[in-house]
Amino acid sequence: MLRYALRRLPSALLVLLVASVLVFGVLRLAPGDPAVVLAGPDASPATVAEVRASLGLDSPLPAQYWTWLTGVLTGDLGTSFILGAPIATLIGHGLGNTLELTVAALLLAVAGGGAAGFALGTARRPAVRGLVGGAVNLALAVPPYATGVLLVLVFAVALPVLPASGHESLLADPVIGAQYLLLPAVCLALPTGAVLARFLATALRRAEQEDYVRTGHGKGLPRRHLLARHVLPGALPPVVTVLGIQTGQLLGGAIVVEAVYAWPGLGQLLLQAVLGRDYLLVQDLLLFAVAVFVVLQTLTDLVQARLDPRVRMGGAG
Amino acid sequence: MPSHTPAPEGLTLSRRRLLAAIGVGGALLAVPACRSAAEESSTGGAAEKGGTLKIAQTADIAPATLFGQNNPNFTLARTVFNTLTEYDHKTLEPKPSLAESWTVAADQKSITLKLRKGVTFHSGRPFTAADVTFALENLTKETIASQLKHVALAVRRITEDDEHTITLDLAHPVSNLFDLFEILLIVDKESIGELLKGTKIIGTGPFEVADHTPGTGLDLQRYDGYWKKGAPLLDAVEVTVVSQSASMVSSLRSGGTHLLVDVAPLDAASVKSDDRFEVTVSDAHDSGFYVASNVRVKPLDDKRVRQAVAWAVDRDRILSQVLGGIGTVTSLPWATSSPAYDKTKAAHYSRDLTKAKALIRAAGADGRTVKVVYNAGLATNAKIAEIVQYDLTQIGLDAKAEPLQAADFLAKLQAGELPGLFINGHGFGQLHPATLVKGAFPFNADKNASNFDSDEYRRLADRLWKTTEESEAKEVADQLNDLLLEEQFVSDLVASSHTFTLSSKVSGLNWTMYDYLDLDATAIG
Amino acid sequence: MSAVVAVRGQVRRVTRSRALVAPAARWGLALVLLLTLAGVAAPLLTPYSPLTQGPEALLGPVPQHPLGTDEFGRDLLSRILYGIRLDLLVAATAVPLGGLAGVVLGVLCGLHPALDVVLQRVFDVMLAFTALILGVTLAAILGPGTAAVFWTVAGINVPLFGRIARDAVRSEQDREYVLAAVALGAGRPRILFGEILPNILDALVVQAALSLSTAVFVEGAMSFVGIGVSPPTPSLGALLRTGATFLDDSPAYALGPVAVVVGLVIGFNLLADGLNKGLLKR
Repeated sequence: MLRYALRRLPSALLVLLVASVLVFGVLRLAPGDPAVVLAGPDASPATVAEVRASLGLDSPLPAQYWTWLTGVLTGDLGTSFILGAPIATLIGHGLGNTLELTVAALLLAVAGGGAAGFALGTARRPAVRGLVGGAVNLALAVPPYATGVLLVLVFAVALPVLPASGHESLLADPVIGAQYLLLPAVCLALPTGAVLARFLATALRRAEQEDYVRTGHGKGLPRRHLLARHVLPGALPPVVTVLGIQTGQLLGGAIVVEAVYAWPGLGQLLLQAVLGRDYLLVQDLLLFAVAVFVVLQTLTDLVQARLDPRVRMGGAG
Repeated sequence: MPSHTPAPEGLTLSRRRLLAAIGVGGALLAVPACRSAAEESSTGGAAEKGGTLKIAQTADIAPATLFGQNNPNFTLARTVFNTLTEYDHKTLEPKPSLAESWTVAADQKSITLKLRKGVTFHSGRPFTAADVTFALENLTKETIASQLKHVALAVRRITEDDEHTITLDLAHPVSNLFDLFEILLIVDKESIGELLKGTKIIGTGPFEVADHTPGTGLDLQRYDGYWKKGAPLLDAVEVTVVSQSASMVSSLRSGGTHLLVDVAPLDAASVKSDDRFEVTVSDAHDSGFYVASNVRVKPLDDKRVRQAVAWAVDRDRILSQVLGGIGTVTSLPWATSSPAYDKTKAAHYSRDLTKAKALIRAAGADGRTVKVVYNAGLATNAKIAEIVQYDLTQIGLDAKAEPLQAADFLAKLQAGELPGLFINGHGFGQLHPATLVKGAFPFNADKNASNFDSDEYRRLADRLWKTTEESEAKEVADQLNDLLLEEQFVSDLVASSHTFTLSSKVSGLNWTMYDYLDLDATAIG
Repeated sequence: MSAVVAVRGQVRRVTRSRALVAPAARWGLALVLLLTLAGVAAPLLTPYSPLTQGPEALLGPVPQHPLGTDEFGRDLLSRILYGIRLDLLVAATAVPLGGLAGVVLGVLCGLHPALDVVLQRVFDVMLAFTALILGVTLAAILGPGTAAVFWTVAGINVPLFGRIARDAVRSEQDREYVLAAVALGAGRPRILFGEILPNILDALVVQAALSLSTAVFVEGAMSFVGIGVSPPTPSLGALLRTGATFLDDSPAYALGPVAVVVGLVIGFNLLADGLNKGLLKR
């Protein structure tokens, strides 16, 4: 197991390194100058030049890259050009809000997707399976921005029971905070929940075909007992794997959902940084997104290897 | 639901926990029924004094740009700082603030200011003449941007007569001297480096900075040593950055916010009809929207094409469809309060496609490609660009809308490299006209975003700046208006205003003639 | 889609009826065709240009404007129909481009083990930029616009198609027909492109249907968050973005584009599902 993990590590690190060069390099190709934004309206060229020098933007690119990379590796993410704040603070603040949203969405997805998947995988009546299956397919196909708009239309405009957008701290005021959280969390949870439901249903059906379950049926054990004790545990591992992959995708999904609901998380921070050409902040955030994806991917691979020895033997693939 | 049946020892704890959990759950379920984030009802009954005013705005404060006018700083400039004088909104006469009185020499080339005694910075240090000297000298630095820099540079010598008296000798009479005193923030010279970085923000104003999280918000608390007795009424002010105008409105509706600065007019429209809120339009009228030409880009080098643009644009549609009716259509940069305002000339251009087409034909510009560039970060400008682009396609130009990201747009605007027409907003139309033609970048006669270079324009701008004679100023302003209407390197479209959308619980909201929020007398209740 | 499969029919005896044997495929195809047709026939279905502005802004549905008008008085039906055109144009050009690049790279993996390792890492890096993160990156370089959407859609398809081609090449290398070709003295590139590629067409067709759905999804997402198609060009995502700001006054504004985006995404998804059942699950 450890040897397998060590074998996966270089490739994951390589991906991260290449991604860091790409992220750094491509942003330098773009037009626009953060120094000008920082110097403010009606500033003179001399002011702008001075600001540029103070940001270190006048040193050669490889030097800038090296400074950045060593900084990131030693935990110094630098300072945002535009906002003037330490990037670690900004990411920390945005990450808190994004996590709040993501965790809520994951809980909803696991609960809703689990229930739907269980119904879909074990129900015997075709009507139930058709209904749940249809709902799952719909949740999977409707893009979150469309779901988001529809939810706002229903719950904030037609029956004004929830706020259309914005964020209030869940810690400072749980009652109001939860109301702000509900719509975006549902919106983000739907596609993830649908994927989970599908996988769980398939895994359940497959598990029910296993010999030991059939034997149980033969022995006359009640189906409920079989489902709870044998089928479900057998179906869980692949579902956990899917959950890992889906979590890696949630950050991308959060960009859209945060935009629909003006949720002040990492997605909003990233968009704001891209549009304001806040080089360093964009670099750090993109690298962060890629790193989260790679780490979760690698962890998922490891879990899979643990469950299935063939993967472990088969090489780094 | 409590049970009185004695329970076995081992079960008591878990049972009590369970009951507690049910209780909490029940409370959570019950409370939302009366507390909704969608429509929080007004609680009312709060005292005249005290309380926290919650403000939302679309962008964070930018301390590095504090010395010029930059919209996000509206909530910071007059709450944490003071200026020397403040214009009366009706008479436009300067009124005392940190300067209590002043005398101007007969030749208009020197002014002596008597400064207020007993004023202290939030650090506890007393305010003296040396602080005024510092503020003036600071403004002349290369690295400090300000639209009023040209006035600070015209100060030849500063003499501190005593701790609270200061005399400024000027190179020549300066017509817009009090515009400088209106914008010049008196900052703490000991922490100027930290101020520019935004890490320490110290002034003499009614509130001191308790906390600033860049990109997120600003917390202010009452400064007990404020020189104006009995002010401020509020205990604290919280400024939150909400990047989307629509969510600012939903925050106001839920009671999470009391005051919104510059909500997009169409979003504000949705609370206009609700009597729990009001939309206050600033009487400073210093928000003009324009379409300008880079005169180095063909075919905009031909003033007939620029005039055709001015004839083609449907200003009324911009006013109603983009600005929600706030403002007036105009062809000149001045607000009605400006001495340079001229009603007839302001109505010079209106939509006339026949005239516009004829001019385009005469210039041989039929079918030529013209880019309409705008800052994609500003929703209002983007919408104006959409209307302008369409209107230009109607007079035979091949107009292409081109959004630029904020950084890119500002860089090219600064360098005079925008590739065609550009949509933007300007201030400085409301006070002394010299400030506009000497300091506001789109109009600056010495160097402007349009690359419009004219000795005549420079001469008129200079004369307007250096004369303090009313009749001469009138005559020069008249010629200047004719030149602007003829050359059209900037075509003004609508003279609009900044808006404050507020809960009806808020009273006593004021602002300066640069639209800096003045919360000295503001209360919630 | 089925036509492409049919061309290579003799290889695997895949017929039109096989491809569309599942009802899902037929429903999906019908939905997609209907919406495509509406986009193509836009000039016949509406008398208005999607760009003509007027004084009557934010009208609700009225006889002259069945879906109402937008904030500049433009006819919303025209904007949606022309928006379909743009979305499908991007999807129909960017997906094949990215797919082709991916397939070529994937097949090249079969040429040499070292090349395989390098290209695998390239795919890893590309996949690590999930669709929207890639979109944000490209929008930062190119500026928001149709070009950013196009390259994002093309970009996400390179590793997807690349992996399919690569895996297929690896698994098919030992099959009889390949061994036979080798025995007959065919060169390696000839075998890869001439023998193996035609046999993985089914898998590529299924992926293509899925990718078209993703393309519509990505255009919508990028334009919605403000880094995609910019005004005045109508696209489904751009319409949704502005429509969402008028939910209070004019709910019909957002509903039209929502319905069409959902229709297209579901249509392509059903098609992919059905093709998958008909072609791959034997």
